[in-house]
Amino acid sequence: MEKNRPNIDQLIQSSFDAFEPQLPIGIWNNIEDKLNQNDASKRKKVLTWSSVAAVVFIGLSGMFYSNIPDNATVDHKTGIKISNTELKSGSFENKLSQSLPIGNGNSDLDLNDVDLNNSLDNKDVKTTGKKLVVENNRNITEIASINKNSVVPNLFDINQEPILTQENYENMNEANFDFLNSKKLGLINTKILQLPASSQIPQRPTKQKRSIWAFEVGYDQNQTAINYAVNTQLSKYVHKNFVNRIKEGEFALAAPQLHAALRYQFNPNWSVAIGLGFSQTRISQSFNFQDSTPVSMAQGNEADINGNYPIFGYVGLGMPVAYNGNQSISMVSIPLSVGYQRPINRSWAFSSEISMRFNKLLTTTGKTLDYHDLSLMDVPNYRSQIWSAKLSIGAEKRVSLRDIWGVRLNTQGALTPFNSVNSPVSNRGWSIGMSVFYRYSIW
Amino acid sequence: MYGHCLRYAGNVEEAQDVLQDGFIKVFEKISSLKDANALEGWMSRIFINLALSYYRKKKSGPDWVEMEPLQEVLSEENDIPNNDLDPKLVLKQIQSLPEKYRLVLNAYAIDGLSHKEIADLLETTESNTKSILSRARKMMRDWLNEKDNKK
Repeated sequence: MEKNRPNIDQLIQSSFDAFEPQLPIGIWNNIEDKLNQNDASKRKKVLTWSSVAAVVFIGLSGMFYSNIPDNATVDHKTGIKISNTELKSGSFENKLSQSLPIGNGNSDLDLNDVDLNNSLDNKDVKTTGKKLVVENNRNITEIASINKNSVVPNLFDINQEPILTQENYENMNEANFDFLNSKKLGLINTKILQLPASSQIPQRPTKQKRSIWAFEVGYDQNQTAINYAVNTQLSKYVHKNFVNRIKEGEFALAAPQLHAALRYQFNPNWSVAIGLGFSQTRISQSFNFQDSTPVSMAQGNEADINGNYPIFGYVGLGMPVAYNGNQSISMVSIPLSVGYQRPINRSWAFSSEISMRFNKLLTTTGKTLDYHDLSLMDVPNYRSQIWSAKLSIGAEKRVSLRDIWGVRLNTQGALTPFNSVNSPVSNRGWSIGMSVFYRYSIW
Repeated sequence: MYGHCLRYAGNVEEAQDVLQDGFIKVFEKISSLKDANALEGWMSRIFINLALSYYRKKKSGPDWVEMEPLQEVLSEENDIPNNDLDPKLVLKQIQSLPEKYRLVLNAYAIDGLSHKEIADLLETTESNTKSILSRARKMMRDWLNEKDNKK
């Protein structure tokens, strides 16, 4: 404090010596509130900065940890990693003994016996009992990523059907990948294929490989009908009402057909197939006819002793005839087919096929009228071979990498008549029905 | 301490603000006090510094323009009436002084700060605080004389 202050200063100063003003009411409460606010603010700041520090610490620790070189030893037989601690303590022997190959061949391991923590990425897979569960939305790339420790699982679908094996994986084509992506990979078999530790996981093939061959079997259930035709050169012998009446009396039976084929796939859309089939066509006809004298009706009978072909007169004075004819024709076929498939989604595809079939008639039985005595007689004039064609349209569903089921509507018909050339009346069968087929891809 | 605040403040509301902020600062800094016997002086200094800073930071605070010193002030020192003064009246008169006059007069004449300390706290020059102090004294002397003449 400076000395020799003027009197005015001392006077003013001394006037406040005994001055004790009264504190305003509530001032202490205000101070206390403000102190509490400051404390809360301080705590908030401390918490915020502590959180920031923790995040930075964890981040830096993670970076540091990830940069620590992996000194784990890999067992060359099982591919299982052994840490330095396990190596020193000797516990690795127990670990390896539990992981020795069992099951089919030396390369199969039971998942229960494999240390998944070391073999697979924990982030991608988890074990539930004996099942290895993969997330449903996983695609094949991600599946491949779980194999980074040289372990490739054999993937099985929910029905325990194999959908991916090591061998298949290396030969998969684009469609298979797409299919696999669409699968609900809920379960994976407990067996995994163990590769040598030095093995590289096969990468998705850059060059597209196709499964170009497939084996196929199918069954058609059709309803037949008959197209009747009159030989133009012999039409003068055929009563004009005959064809109408025979059509009215027609009753067609089913025509089942079995076939097996080998299919070659040009590309994902187009394919050709050659096969072997067996079919049977049965036809029943029943009608009454009364016409001229001489009464003669028989499909394709040869000329009678007078040189006349079986004809139907015009007067209608003939005897009434109740006709009940049955025909049964069995054939073996060699179908040549062109198929077209167009994927709708990863499982379903539009499916169509057109085929030309060469048919060898094996057995033919039929009855017709002997115009001489109006008795039934065997039809003698079937051809030995005919051509037929088939068109089918439907859908097919891929149920696994190899298996496809399909269903189609089809129509097929004989391109050549069943009866011989000299028949005044001949028929061509045609049918409409439904087909089911199964195709097994050969990799 | 409230007396300090009242002297530096222009009104009661401002005095309460300074008092409140001053006590908060005291509680925050109390751990730095080494000698408990020096508590009163330590607290006084906190309140004085806070009051000066308070008005320095106020946007409407005093404009610290350099002022010409008053040469005739010292020659009138002995003319001051030596009467007992009512502190409330003195306080009222001090509060009525222009802000910068009030601050410098309080800091130098009553609380004993040096011109250098005051100049540093108010971010001005020592010569300016001296000039302000002279004018403040003259105003107080005029008030005392006027008060004495009325008697």
